[in-house]
Amino acid sequence: MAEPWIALLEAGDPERAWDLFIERYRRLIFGAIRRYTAESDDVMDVFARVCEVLRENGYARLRRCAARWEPDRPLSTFLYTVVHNITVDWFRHRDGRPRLSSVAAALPPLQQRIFEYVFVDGRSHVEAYELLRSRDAPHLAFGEFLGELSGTYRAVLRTPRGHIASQLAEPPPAIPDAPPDPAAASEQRVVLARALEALPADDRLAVQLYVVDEMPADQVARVLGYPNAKTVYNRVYRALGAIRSHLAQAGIRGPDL
Amino acid sequence: MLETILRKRRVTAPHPAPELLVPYALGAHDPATARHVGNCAICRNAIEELREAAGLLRGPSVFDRRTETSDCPDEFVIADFVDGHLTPQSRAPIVAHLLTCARCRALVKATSELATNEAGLTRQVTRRWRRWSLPVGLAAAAALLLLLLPRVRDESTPGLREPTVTSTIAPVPITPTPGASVARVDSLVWSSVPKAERYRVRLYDGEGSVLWTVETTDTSAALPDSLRLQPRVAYFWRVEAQAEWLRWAASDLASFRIDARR
Repeated sequence: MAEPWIALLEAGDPERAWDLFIERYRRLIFGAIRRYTAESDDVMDVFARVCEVLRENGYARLRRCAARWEPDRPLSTFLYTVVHNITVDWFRHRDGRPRLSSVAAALPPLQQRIFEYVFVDGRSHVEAYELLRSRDAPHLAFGEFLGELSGTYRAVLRTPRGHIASQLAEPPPAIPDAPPDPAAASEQRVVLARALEALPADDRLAVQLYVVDEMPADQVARVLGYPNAKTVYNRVYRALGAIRSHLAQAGIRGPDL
Repeated sequence: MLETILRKRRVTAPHPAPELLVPYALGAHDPATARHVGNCAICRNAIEELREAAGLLRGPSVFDRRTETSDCPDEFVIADFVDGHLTPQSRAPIVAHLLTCARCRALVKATSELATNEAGLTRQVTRRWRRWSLPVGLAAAAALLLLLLPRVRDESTPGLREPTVTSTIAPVPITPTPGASVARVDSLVWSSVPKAERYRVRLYDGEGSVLWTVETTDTSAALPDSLRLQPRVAYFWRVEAQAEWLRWAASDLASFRIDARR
């Protein structure tokens, strides 16, 4: 049986449909927002923005929800994606810059710039490096940059707002012990890309989500439709083995790795 | 005899399966696997190789794009992907996209995490609601109870309602200015709607629960003394205008805060 707000929406009474909808889902939305920030002002501001987005364009999103509703298709998952996007956007584009800048206030000048590029502007690490070279530190080596980047992540994640800040940036990079040789790094990337292409797409995504993005194995299993986390471990084990033998065949092994 | 058994056990003890080796290699705390790896050259080598391959994979993540593009699927598609509701045909291009888009993978990861912890989300809110409700007091509770009554009546008679007249002008909240932080709020003021017979105002707390409501023919309403608004807390209000019998036009939800310097 469809949820009551859908009938009201279809009957042309979006206001009452909205009241029922928000009554049904407001706790879930609040709960989701609180996973990102515990400050009540922030929670309320994001909640207001979520409501605004769901209502905009004549309740367009609500209407799509109603059109797609099925008993075994939980609306909550859609709401989580909305909450995530809105929270990240809200922190980044509205009050995000000044508030998050307080996180960076104690950082050295170079790390403040890195923070601004990576966490506030959402740029990739490579973009941040190029911007730093062109605007702030023309002689900054990539290895030095990686060291400063790593320091920025460590400092930010220690702060009370570290969790939300970490949502605004890509995962911290793996810092090599020594600055990479550009030619060798380029060759490695080509061989690695070939090794990955040899894997089935789902296995590649499992590796990407579990190894690179550090998503828990049980959740990787869920989104990929695997029976359980054990399947993820087995696929990742085989995939990493295949990647390594591919690289070994290309003559890249031991210290080169 | 015992020593023979133990020696034999050491020799024939199985190596940890991938479900133990992989998480251990990538940093999981697992004393039993650590003990085995410490005594087993084969597994030490396997762990080393897993770490090397993982390190190689993580390195190029610095090149990942993090911003949204026109190729990124919308929230509905991401939700269906996480829930496994996509058909094989519609799923394949999403998998291909996710392999190249760190932004969408982050969205999948966040959505999956929230969906996995769904029970915890609503439990947490329930606890907070109890905490928030304590200072409201008996008067507010009684007011809330009274104000819930019209809502019950509305929901029990949906068949009596006609579709909302969309051409009716909605009132606009004027004071306090939407989004403003103010020293105090004694009354709520909104714009008038032609031919409105009455207005209904609702004030919500931070949890979205109705704190106070009133119906009036005026375009302002004084807040009762029993309503104690807390500093640094966001409140929301909305006003509806009734131009015809059971036809209401509602304003957008407006927010305000009481300034902490009050």
